[in-house]
Amino acid sequence: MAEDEATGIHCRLDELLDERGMTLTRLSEIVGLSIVNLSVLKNDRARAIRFSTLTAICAALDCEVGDLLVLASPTVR
Amino acid sequence: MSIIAPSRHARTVALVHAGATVYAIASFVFAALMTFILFSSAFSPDGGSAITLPVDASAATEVSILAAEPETPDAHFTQVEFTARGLSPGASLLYFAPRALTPIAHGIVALGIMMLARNVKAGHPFAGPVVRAFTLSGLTIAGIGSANQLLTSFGTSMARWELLGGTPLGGWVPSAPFDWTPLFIGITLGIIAGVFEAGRGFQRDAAGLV
Repeated sequence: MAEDEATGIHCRLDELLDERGMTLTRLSEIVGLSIVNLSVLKNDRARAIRFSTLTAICAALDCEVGDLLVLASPTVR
Repeated sequence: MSIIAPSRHARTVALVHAGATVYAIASFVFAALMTFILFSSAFSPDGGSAITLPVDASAATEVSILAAEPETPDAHFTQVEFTARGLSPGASLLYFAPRALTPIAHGIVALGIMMLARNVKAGHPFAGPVVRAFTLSGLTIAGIGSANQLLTSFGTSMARWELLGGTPLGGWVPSAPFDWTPLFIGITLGIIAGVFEAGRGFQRDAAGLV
């Protein structure tokens, strides 16, 4: 996928992991998603996300969908 | 989205990739050698190659032009094999061309297998080069498989006319029926290429999906 393809959605996975003191590796073990795919999500390179993935991540981080995914700011677009 | 192959499968794919690469190289080298031999034999004034020609089931009588003698009085010839000298370049090229075309076909198909294995290893089995490799392999098998039959048929007829014409073995012999198998295999590979092209579309749609 091209690096400059902006989806308009920002994933706050980094911020939520920092707040909870959790590593990407630990989240990967809990959720059952590979570190590669979590990294794709974290760096806003994902183009689509399964509801099952969304549910698992929100359950692991004890957050709402709106805490995890937000509209990207105009400068990011 | 890329497809990660399990380790045992990955080892098998790597082995297939290596084997197909070696076979493709060997096939093309052999084809080049056979092409050289073909042209040097065809245009050499004193050269000659072993040739096998079908003949009508003939009683085992001595044929002086071939210096052939029957081993048993009740035997029948259905084909003769000898070193053909004085065969025209055209007949020689037609008769022996399949010996050069067949390894070329093998090489192209092996390249297609190599391309598929490489892309499976990389996690992109439905890539464009794989679709093109399947299409080219199908065209090669259908084309060269059919051409070989036609070349052999024409070459054999010309060689029989040139070498056996006027001898007791020069009578009319029906040609072998056309084998449609290469065409069917070529069509099948073309359909598989279409399936992989559809898979490319699915892979593109699923790219970036987590």
